[in-house]
Amino acid sequence: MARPDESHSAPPRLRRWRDWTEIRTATLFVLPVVAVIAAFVLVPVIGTLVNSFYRDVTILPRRFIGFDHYRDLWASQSFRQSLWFTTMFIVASVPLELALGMIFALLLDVRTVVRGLMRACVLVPWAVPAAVSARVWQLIYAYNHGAANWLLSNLGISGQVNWLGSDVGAFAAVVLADVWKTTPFVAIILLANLQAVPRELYYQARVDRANFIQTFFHVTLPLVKPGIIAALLFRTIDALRIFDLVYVLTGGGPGGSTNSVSLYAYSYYLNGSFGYGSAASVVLFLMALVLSILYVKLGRFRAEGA
Amino acid sequence: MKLTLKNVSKEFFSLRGRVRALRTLDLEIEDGEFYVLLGPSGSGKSTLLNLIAGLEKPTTGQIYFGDQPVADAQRRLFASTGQRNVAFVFQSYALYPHMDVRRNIAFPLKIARWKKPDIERAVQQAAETLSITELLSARPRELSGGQRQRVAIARAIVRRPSLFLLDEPLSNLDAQLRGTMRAELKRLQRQLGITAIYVTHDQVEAMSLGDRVAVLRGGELQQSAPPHELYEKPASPFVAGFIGSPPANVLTATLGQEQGRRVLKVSGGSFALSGEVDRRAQAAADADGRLLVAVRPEHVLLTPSAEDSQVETEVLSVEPLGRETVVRLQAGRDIITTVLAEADFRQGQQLPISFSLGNAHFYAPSPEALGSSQGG
Amino acid sequence: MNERRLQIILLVAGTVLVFAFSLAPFFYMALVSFSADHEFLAHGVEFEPTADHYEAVLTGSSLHFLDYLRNSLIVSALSAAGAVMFSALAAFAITRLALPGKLGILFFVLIVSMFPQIGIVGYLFKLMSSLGWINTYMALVLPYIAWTLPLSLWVLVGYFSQIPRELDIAATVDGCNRWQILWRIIIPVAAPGMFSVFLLAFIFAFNEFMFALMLTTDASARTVPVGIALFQGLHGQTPWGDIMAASVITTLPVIVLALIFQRRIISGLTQGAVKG
Repeated sequence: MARPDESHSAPPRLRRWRDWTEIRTATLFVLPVVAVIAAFVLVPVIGTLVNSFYRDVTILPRRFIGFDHYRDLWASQSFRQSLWFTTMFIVASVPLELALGMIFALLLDVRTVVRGLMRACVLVPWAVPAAVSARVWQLIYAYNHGAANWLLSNLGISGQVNWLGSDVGAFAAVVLADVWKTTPFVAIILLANLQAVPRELYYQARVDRANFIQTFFHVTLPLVKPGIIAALLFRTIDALRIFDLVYVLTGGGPGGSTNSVSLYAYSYYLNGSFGYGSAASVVLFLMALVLSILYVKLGRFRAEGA
Repeated sequence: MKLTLKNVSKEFFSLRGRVRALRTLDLEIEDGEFYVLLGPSGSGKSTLLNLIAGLEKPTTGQIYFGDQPVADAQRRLFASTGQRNVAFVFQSYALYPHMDVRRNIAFPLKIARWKKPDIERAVQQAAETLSITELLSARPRELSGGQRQRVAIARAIVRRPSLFLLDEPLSNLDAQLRGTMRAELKRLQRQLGITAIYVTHDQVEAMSLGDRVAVLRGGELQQSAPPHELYEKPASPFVAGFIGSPPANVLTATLGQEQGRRVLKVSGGSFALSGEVDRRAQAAADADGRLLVAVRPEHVLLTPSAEDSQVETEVLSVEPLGRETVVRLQAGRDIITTVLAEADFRQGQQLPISFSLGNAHFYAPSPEALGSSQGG
Repeated sequence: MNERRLQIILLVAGTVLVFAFSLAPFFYMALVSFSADHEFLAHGVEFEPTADHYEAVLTGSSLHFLDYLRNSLIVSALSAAGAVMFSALAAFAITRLALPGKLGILFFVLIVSMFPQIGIVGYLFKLMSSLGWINTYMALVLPYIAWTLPLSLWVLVGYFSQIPRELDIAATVDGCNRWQILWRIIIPVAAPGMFSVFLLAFIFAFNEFMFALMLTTDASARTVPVGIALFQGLHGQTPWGDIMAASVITTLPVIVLALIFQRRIISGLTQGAVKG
């Protein structure tokens, strides 16, 4: 073909045996990721940890005080209240999201004319900023003119519910708004797992005369289990750090009944009490760490391609 | 270009420990030769190809392209794949999916910074050689398997490589197309005069393509010879049992005495030995008189010459293939395959047979050699 | 036959429920944004259509909505571009090159993604204050890149590892060095995946709240979520109509994106989340 290329007819130059250039290039390639994460996640986390042992208030000189902040946290009624709310929030919202997400995923998996449209619509609550949707929910929950109470009274179910003004109402309001926002995410994850179930198994189940409820519990559910575990732990860790929703919707009220740990720590940052806020953050951080280690253990990650 | 491998071996380290992918071997491949590496999966044939391509480094030994070393494990020097000017054709074709056929073929030239008009001329010529000019603006996914392989070959030959490496290039094609492409590959290689190394697990492909064929098994070179020699003088029982369709029957046998005469006992019968055959059998046998005997299907005789030289068998299956019929016979523990022009047998029928021992091959017994042809 | 009918009823009811569940709040949002009085559901109040709220939001400079929107778009685009770029380099090294400890990097990044933001934001505030970066794009873009990198990296590693090894070898044989393999082969082949990652990272950055709340104090870098959350009327009354109009304008592009790129977004999300 054409002319023999001169550069190719030259004898190959021998190189050194161990190719350090590859390791050097690879290191260079991962450097930006590692550097950015180190600078803007890792260093701040360590900084927060260190800071939690100092009295660090805007106007006063910084002073080492050991575990004093942690002792104060333990003694604080409102911190314990925020721990309690955060835990109850996880317990109430995550199972609801998983159950509803499973139903959504099953529906999204059925071949219908509107399937594509439905998948797109389901994405919308997830894709809209939580702070924006929280504003809408705030209006929905309004006592006199909100859509929630309007709906309840028009359906003849009950009278007016004091959504944002009562402890129980505010808790339910936060859980409901969160379920609305994050169920799509759960549904998408479970859908992917559903689609990986071989269709032959469903045919076999039909041959075996299982009805669709039996099929779900004996075929679908066991095969989707890895997805359920993944969604469960993703959602738990995400619910643990809830902030946007309560900040906008309830501001932590009424009476601190929906004050999450994140919001608690934030309120101290806002006052300039960085040491104390850091200590509260560290508690949350440790909880997240325990959960994520659990996740990695349970998830038995396959790092593909690595 | 002549290719020389001296003392080359390859070991991998995995979690399970050291894996010997390739035992020490010496190989010389002549300029312009079509050289085939044949073996079952795990035989080390792909490892050998990767060593030649520069995708792996040998654990020991040297590799020379002509007089020029390209890898030297002692001096710890190595020429990378990019420097070796080899072309690679894959089983999966490995066409760049985001480029049309023209850009696929032009790619190696573009990387080598050829001038545009030169590239165009070379691409055109390569496309004509493989009769794919009308496909030049198609995307790989629009092509059939056969067309994709032609594009892959065009991409390989376009820059005049000094070595042509083919890794099971025809395995993804259907049987009919495989035959045509085989003939075309051979013609192309002759026409270009480029040394080619071809990896396959298909012995028919190997025999029909190769000037010489190297049979590998478990990382060990069993024999490197022209196809007819592989068939007529298999160097090991494995080669005998691997080459030919159907391949030779490899049976365990023992030497012994019966009524004062020397005999070769196999499962289901025995043969009287004498003269040249006796000498060859004795030379192969171990101290206990055990040995392996390889008999080609066409050397199985259905008309025993003598009462004392026959094996009692029972017909297992009869497979008429048109021009010939393959008959499988149960002889004691062994199954014996034979090929006949015509056969009128029933399944289960008793059939005494004999071997043309003058054409048989004798080997020292090695249990692992008989274990399975898939091993290693 | 009976079971079949039950299945169909459940399917139809479920589908209607999914649509209503997902879209009803947006419907309400849109209604309020076009209503003169946001209390139109209360007794004795009539729904009176108007576009005044949109006019107020789009022209009234005191609300700064357009500033917020511009900030959000710029910050999100820069963050997403950065995340895609950095994670493409790293994913290439992790899937293609001999890099010691590559699994460690993946797990490290995974753990990082589970840190609560509150444990970072206090320190970031002090850092950005001392750098004088409060109220600048930089103060948001860099943390956002760090924040979206774990997801971007995992998704891209998933996409990259699906590209057959033979393509790399073919490119090597054709004379490519590693940069050329990345730029000429991997990135073009993985382009749809990279686009998915860009979309995800963009949505992540666009939705982020806590960093933007803490690291901005005025309209020069404040993003839409914070802007809408902190919207206050001039006379102490919450301007619900304006807020909802702003929300509609913010939500509309998101809905359009979701409709057009539904497949790409789901593919990306699934890559990142289902590996476990």
